[in-house]
This record gives sequence, C-alpha cells and structure tokens, in this order.
Amino acid sequence: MSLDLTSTSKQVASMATNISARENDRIKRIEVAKVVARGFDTKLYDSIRKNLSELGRSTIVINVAPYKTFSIPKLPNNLIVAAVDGSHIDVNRHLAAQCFLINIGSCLIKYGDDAYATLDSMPKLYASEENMVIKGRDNRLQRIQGSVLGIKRHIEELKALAALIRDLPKDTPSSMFLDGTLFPVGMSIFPQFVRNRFFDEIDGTMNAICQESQNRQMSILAYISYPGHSEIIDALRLTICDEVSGSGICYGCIEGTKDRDLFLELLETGQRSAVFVRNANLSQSSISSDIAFFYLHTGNEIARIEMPSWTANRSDIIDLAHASCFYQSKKGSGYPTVLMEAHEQAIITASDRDSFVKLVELALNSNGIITRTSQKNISKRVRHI
Amino acid sequence: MNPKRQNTENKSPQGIIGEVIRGSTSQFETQCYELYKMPRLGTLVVSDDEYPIFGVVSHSVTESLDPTRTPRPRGPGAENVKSIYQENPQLQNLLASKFISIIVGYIENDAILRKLSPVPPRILSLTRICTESEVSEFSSNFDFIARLLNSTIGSPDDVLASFLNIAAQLRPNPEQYFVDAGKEVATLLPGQMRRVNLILRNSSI
Amino acid sequence: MNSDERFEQLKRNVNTDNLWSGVIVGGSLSEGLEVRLTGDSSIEEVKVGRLVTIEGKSHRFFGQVSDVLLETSDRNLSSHSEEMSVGIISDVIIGTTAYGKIKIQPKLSVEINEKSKTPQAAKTIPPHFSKVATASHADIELIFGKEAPGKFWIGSPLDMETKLCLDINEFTKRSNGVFGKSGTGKTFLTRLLLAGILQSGKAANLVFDMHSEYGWQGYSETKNHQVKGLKQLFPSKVAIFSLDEEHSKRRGLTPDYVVRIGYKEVEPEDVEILRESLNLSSQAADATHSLQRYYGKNWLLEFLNLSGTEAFNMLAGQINVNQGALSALHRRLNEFRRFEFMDADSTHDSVNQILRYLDRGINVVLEFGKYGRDTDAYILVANLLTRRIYDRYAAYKERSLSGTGKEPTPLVITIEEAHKYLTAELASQTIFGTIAREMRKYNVTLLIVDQRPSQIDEEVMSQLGTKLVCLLDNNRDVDSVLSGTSGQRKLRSVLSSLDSRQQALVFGHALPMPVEIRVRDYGTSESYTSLGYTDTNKDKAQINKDKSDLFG
Repeated sequence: MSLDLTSTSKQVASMATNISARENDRIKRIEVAKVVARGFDTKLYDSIRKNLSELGRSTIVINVAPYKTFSIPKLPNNLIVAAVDGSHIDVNRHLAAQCFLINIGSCLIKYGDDAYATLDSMPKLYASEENMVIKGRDNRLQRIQGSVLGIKRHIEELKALAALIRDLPKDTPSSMFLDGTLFPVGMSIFPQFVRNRFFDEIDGTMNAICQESQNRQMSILAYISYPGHSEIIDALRLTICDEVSGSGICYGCIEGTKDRDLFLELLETGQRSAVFVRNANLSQSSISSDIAFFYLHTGNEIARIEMPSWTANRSDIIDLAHASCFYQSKKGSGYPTVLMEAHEQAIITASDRDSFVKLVELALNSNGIITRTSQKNISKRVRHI
Repeated sequence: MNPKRQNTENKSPQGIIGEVIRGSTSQFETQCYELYKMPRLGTLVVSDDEYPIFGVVSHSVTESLDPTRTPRPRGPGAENVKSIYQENPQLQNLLASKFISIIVGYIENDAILRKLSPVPPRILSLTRICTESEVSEFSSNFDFIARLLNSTIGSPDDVLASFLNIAAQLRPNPEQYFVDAGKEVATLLPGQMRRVNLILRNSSI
Repeated sequence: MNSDERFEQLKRNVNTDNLWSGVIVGGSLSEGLEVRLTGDSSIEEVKVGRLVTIEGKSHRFFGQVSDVLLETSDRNLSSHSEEMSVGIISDVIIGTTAYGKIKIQPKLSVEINEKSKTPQAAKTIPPHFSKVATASHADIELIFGKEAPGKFWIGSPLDMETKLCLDINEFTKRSNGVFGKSGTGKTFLTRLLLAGILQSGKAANLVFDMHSEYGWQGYSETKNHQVKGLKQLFPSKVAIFSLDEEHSKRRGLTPDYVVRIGYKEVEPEDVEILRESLNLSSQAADATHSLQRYYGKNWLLEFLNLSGTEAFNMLAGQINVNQGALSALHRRLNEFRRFEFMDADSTHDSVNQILRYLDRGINVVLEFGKYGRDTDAYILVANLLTRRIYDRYAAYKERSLSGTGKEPTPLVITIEEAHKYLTAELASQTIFGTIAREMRKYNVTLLIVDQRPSQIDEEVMSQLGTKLVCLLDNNRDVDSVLSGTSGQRKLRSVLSSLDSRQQALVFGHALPMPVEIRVRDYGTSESYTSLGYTDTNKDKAQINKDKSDLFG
C-alpha cells in the first residue's frame, strides 16, 4: 500500500497550525535582527571574536558590516560558466554483486562569441575491494556506503571540477559552480582515519584547483539555495547577548532566525552582502577547509555562495562570482541554469537504477555466475498479492 | 540519456543532414545534426544503407530530447528569437530537430523501384537530401502520388503539394507537369475535385 | 474506380492515327454501346452519325455514333463549376473526372479471321475495353461495297472522301422514298437515284416531273445556275414527254411526245383520287360511278356538258343521287376544262407511247409545265396514266408467268407531293397505294419524293424498302419516316443533326446499315463526267478540228 495520505495530511495540518502560530513571533525576531545588523560595530565584534578564540571557540570573520550591500557588477560578454553535480547508486545488500556507482554530470556553457554548450556525464563503477573500503592503519575498515558514500561523492565532484578547469582556455573569464556546500559536512561522526583520508583527498584536489586557477580570471563557488545557516545571526547574537558571548545559553531575541531571513530584509535584488570568512581551525588556516562566503539576493530568494578562502581578497573574483550567480539564476528562472543542466546530466532515475541492476545480473550471468538475490528483492520486483 | 555533442562548426558534406533514429516499414525518422536545419516539407531525401531508400519529408518536429523536460517560455523581453538561442547555448544540446519521411521507393541494382523497401533503413544510416537530377528522375513517374496520399503522417495533401512544387520547378514546362500530375491525383480522388484543386493551387509556383 | 484505372492503362495503347478513338466501357445491344473517349481526343471532334469500327476479341463490329454525352464521375462538379473551370484544374478535370462519352449503335459484325465474308447484322456486342476507332476507307468499302455495276455511288460518309455505294439491285426490288423539308436537296438526290437506276439498267424510270426539273434541266438555288437533267446526261436513254407543249418550247425543248388526255379516258377511279383535293363529299365521289353507268364511256363529257338546274334535277332523280352533291360534283369537275391537255378527242395514245419507250429500256420523264403547279392536274394525270400502265404490266407479267411472253422491264415510277393523295383515307383507293402494297408483284415500284411524310399512309410508308431522308424538322414527319426501323431513337438524333443541304440519312434494304451521307455532287462538270456524261459538242468540235488539220 502506498502512503496513507489521509493520516499524513492530518499531521501536516497540525504542523502548519503550529508554524503559523509561531509566525508572528518569527517576524518580530527578524525585525530585531535587522536592527542589530544595522547597528553592527565591526570593532566591537572583532574584540569579542578575539576573546572567544582565546577560549578556543572559532567564529566567523566579519570585516565589513553585514548591513553593507554591494550592487551587481557587469558580467563580461565572453564568459564560460561550468558546473559539476553528482549522484550515486548505493551498495545494495540485496544485489548479487556488491558495488556502488557514482555518476558525475557536467555542463559547460560558453557565452558571447562562438557560443556553445557541452553536456556530459561520467559514471564510474566501484567494485573492487580497494575502491570500496577505506583502510585504517590498524586494519580498521570503513565500508564506503550510505553517508560515507555521500562524502565520497562530494569529493569526486570536486575532483571532476578540477579536471574541467584543466581543459578550459586560459584567456576567457570563467565561473565554476558546485551545488550545495563547498566542502562536505557531517564528517565528525566518522572515525579519524576516515576523516583523515577524506581530508587528504580534499586537500590534494583544492591545491590542484588553486594552482589551475592562478593566472586565470576564474571564480570557484558553491551555490546553496534556501540556506539554512544562521552563522551571521549567531555573530549578531554575540554582540547583543552576554550569555551567548559567555558560556550560557541564550533564549534571546533573535534566536531561531536564519541568515536568509535577515538578508532578505537587507538586500535588494541583485545585491550581495559583504564577504565573510569561516576558518575551520583556530590554529591553522587551510584552503581545504576554510571558506569565504556571501549572501546574494537572486530576485527570487537569498542564496549563499561559498568560495575557496584564497578568493576572499580578490574583489575581481568576487565580482565575477557575484555577477555570474545572479545572471545564471535569472536565466534559470530562480536557479542557475548551468547547475540545473549539470544536475540533469547527473540524475539517475528509478528506471536507470533498475537497468543498472539488470545490467549487473546480465554481466554476471554471462560470466557463468548464477545470481542469487534476496527474497526481499524478488518481492520488490514482482509485486504480487 | 546523453545528448549527442553538437558541434556547429562541422558542415556535413554532400547534403547529409542527419541520421535515422527510427525506421519502420512505411517511414523513417531522421534527427538533424543542426537544430532547425530540417529539409522543407515535400523534400525528397535518401537514407544511405544497403538499399538506399527514398523518403519524402512529411512531418517535422523540434522538441526536447528528454521528454520529461519541456521548454520554459522566456517572456517577451528578448530582442528576437535568435538572441535567446545566443544567450542560452545549452538549448542546442537540449533540443533536437527531427523529421519523418514517408518511404516512396528504393534503389536495387542501380534501378529505382517505386515501392516499399523490403526492410526499413537501419538506425544511424545517414540521411541525405537528393540532388536535382535525382528528384527530377524520381518524380517523372507518378506512382509516388498514391503513396503520399495514402499516408497517415501529417497532412498528405500539403506534403504532396510541396513535393509537386519542388519537382515542377525542375522542369522546362512546369504547367504541363501540374496538369499531368493533376490528372493522376484526380483519378485517385474520385468525387473530390475541390480537394484536387486545393492541392494544385497549393503546389503552384 | 477500377475500370478507370484500367482505362488509363489502355489509353496509352490506343492508335492515335484517327481523329479520335476510345474504348468500350459499357452499354447494350438494344440501348447502344458506351464509349469513353481517350484522353487526347476532343469531344468536339466526334460527330453524331460517324461510322465507327470496334475491335472485339473475335469479331469486328461496325456501327455509328448515335449520341455524344458529357459525363462526370463527381456529382458535385456542377456546384463547383466556377472554381473548376479556371486554371490548371480544368485541364486536369477534362479527360479524367469530366469526360466525353459516346453512344454507338452497333449494326454489323464480321469475324476477324474471315477475310471474305461480308458483314452481317450484329447479334452480340464486343467486350469491355474493346478499342473504338473511326471507320476507314477500307471499312466503308467492306461494308457497303466498292463502286461497281450494281453498286451506285450516292455520296460519302461524313468527314470522309470514301465513295459509299447503294445496292441498286436491292433498291429497285421495292418501292422507296426520298424525304426532306423543301430546299434540303431532295431533287438532287432523286436525280442521282434516277441516274443510278438508269445506269444499272435494272429498271426503267417513269418520272412524273411536277416542276420540270428532272427531264432536260433543273435549277440550283445555291449555285444559281442550271443543272443538267437526265436527258442531257443520257440523251439516248431518256425521252421527254410533255403535258404543256408551249412550256417546253419556251425552254427550247422539243418533247419527244406531247401528252394529251381524252375526256373519254377518264374513269370514276381517276376522280376518286381527287376527292380530297377537289373537296368532294363521298357522296359526290360515288356519284361518278352512277354517272358512268348512266352515260357510258363518255360520261365525263356528257356530264360536264349538262347545264341548267332542271337537267340536274332530272339526272339526280334518274341516278338516284342527291342533287346538291351532283351539282357540287359538276362544279368541281368543270375545273377539268381548264386543262388544255384534255380534249374530247379519243384518239390519244399516251399510255402506249409511254410503254413503247419503256419496253425499249428508255426512261420517260413527263414534264407538267404549268400544270405542275396545279395539284389536281398532277394527281389526275399521274394516277390515270399509272393505272393504265399498271394494268398492262399486270397483263405482261401474267403472260410471262404462263410462259407466253417475256418479263416486262421493271419500272420505277417517281411521284412527288404524295402527301396530297397517298393519305390514309385515299391510299387504299389509289393505284399508288396498290403498287406500294404489292411490292414488285408486277415489276412496278414507286419512288416517292415528299416533304410531309407524316401525312402519307402508314402502310405505304412501311412498304418502302429504302428511305433517303434529308433534314426534317417536324416531329411527326420524323416519327413517320423512322417508324418500324430498329434503333429509332438513335437515328432521331442523327437525323436532327443533318445539315440543311446536301446531307441525308439513308437506311433500308439497299444498305447493310443506316448511314449519314454527304450527297454526291451534282451540277459540276466533274459530277457529270463521273456519271458518264461526255460532252458531244466538244467531241464534235474536236473532230472538226482534227478533220481540218488533216485535210486542210
């Protein structure tokens, strides 16, 4: 039986009621946040930040007040935008062969003279032992599947981006897009050796990217639609709430609001906020973990743009990122065209998944292996009464 | 799901305009290399295969390669349609122009046979626009008229009118060609003289 | 339409040497065959009456075009005619959806492999898609025969130069008729027929020439000059008798005999035939018999010499005839006194004279002169003479049958304006009716020349073997001429399409099938020569010249 929509809808309705009850409150909080933002004192914040860093807490670097806005710059006529996106087929214990597939989709569009576009997808099958596990020093094994596979995929996307950059002409300004955060998140739950392994890969890739993008007019960015972050809100809270700046928990005035709510009030269409920096580590800065970011009013929503930390001071790169995000979003009626196409290239549909399964079985059978699969799987295929 | 990489710089030699993507007993569908560069209605084309097979372009369509994705209107702001394509180069990759040709004959042992080929053309056979002399020779025998009129694709009358228009222009006396062809059409459509007249009017130069 | 497609296929095989051609697509023996014209042929080239040949599988058929139609396979065509008549579509439609169709009446057939056989009456029809073509010279000669003794050239089929021949033998076996409105060329046609009969030697002609056209010369309205008569063409074979000597003399002619009729020669039967034209009641007409009984042979003169009411009354009482009727009779019969050819002398021998010539095979033309305009005179004289000649012929014939004498030379009597005296009422009473009915019992037949055949007795008309019909425009005349002929309806359309001059529809025993002809020329020097005329004057002049050359 499919989803019991009647029961579900009842629960959704009650949730909505709750939300709407809190709505007024939320609006009030946003108003307060706006006021706080407008009254932001960078010097004050900086001293708070330093205090906290001595206590071992890392906070966002804000050198320009959040209320500052930056208008949309011009986009060069001849421009290349490119995006990479990925999807995967997870390891399926019901499948006769244990493997996983990562499909990387890419889209490259040249605007201006000799305009063209290239759409591509590259599937890669991971089936060998080495490919499918991460080994620790003491023979600890982490199978790559589930959320681990998600991380792996993110990293493969970065690698693909690096490869794409390598083939671009050097003289044309280009803007490279990723979907979601620049770096994978949620790795803290993994064992150290896994985190190390992943970090090494990210580091290698980011270095390569950094190398390639030197002497080029190139912006590299990750585009987050409808961001759920509240980093700037938290920073604001630091300036108004002792408890927060101390060690207590603040039940205060602007808690619960999101950065996007704030900047929706502060920014006009096409404007961006100042560039903020997040350092992952207090002690060392790393291009493989630190990011520069800003918020952009696309006209439809507030988007969060994350970029490698080495671009923070490059106003030309920032401008390129700003303009390309805005105009791509406009072209795509709310979401960057180039990302959309990369996503389309990456998609693995349900029927693709079925085909994949059949492909595997066929290959195994033709090699003389009798494929046995679980009864559960079989029951899924033939849905009988 | 991967669309063919479209390279607009590459002009195909000898009037080759695309490849067969679907073939059946009475028709074949060609996808054009270049967007919107399909031959006009009524054009005689040939698909090069074991037996070169003649077809008459009867129905053309430009559509999204992925049936689940439909074009999104961009609004009236653009200067013209051309500028939209200029500013959205990825459209060339996402759309394709295709046309269906009604099979009207084939070549076997250097002879033109004006009947259905034993088997349809193979997928990925090259489709080529016929030369003037090929059109002239093919259209000198009126067997094709019945085939075109009985087709279920598109509007047979308009296809026939277009074909006759093209064929007549290759002749020293187009009027006479229309009369001769018209008589054949009249015989095939007894009791439908207005229809015959409409076809002739639409085919006039 | 399956037959349409096949037809298209056949079109490409049909011989296009002729003016037009077609293929059989339907029809029947009784209603006529339907022919679809081939694409190149134009409907305008097809004429009703044209002779055609049809190539069947084992037989060749001959017929004539009896109707020309336009047909269309699209019923809606007429409602869109404006749209369809302009531009290319009209060229497309004509010959395909809208096409010409011909109706052909098949008449004769001959086996294809039998070269020698003459065509017989068609008893069946050719199959679908048989090719139809206009008849050729060879076909005409095959059907009608070549010009030869016994085959007289009377004209040519329309649009052809071939000589079409009449079978004179068959012609003279029965009575015949030449019909047509005035001015359509009956006289010319009759002259030709007389010449033909004369040439054949199968019969002798006795012509009661009402308007003095056949004997010495006649007049051509169109050419506006004189044309030669029989005597000029065949001087040694024709004798001119005259009823009006003065008239003949005025024209520079000396008749071979001047005919006079004695009053004594007139019998009551001679008066009977004049009943209508003299407007006699039946009573009055019957009275003549009583008069003859009363007075004897000279009854007419005696009766005419009677005068005074008293005498009439007395006579009326004595013969038991109504007085009024009698006086009416007297008045009418008095008209005879006008006739200068009648006299009281009984020594006239006209009949014998005529017979003398006829026996020698010489044709006799009796010119009526001014009496030609007098219908009564014409009827009286023609009837009177014919009655007596007929009786003599009857006697000859019986003698020859019993072996005591030779057969009398067959005689053809030409009479004009028969509608005035061969009506239904009178036909039974006149000698002409008898002759017509008895066919050639006594070797005498009629040649009737008339413009109102509807008024001629039906039975007489039905006895005519061959009819030559020029243009008639009265429906009843057309009906009477065609009655009893097979394929009447088709012949009607042929008849109504005749030219007003020099064209005739000829049908009957003397021809294998009805045919529309352009009558042979008569009046040009070539036409005379073709009839055998030699200019003796020219010869004489030539001889004299030769003489002078030789002898100085």
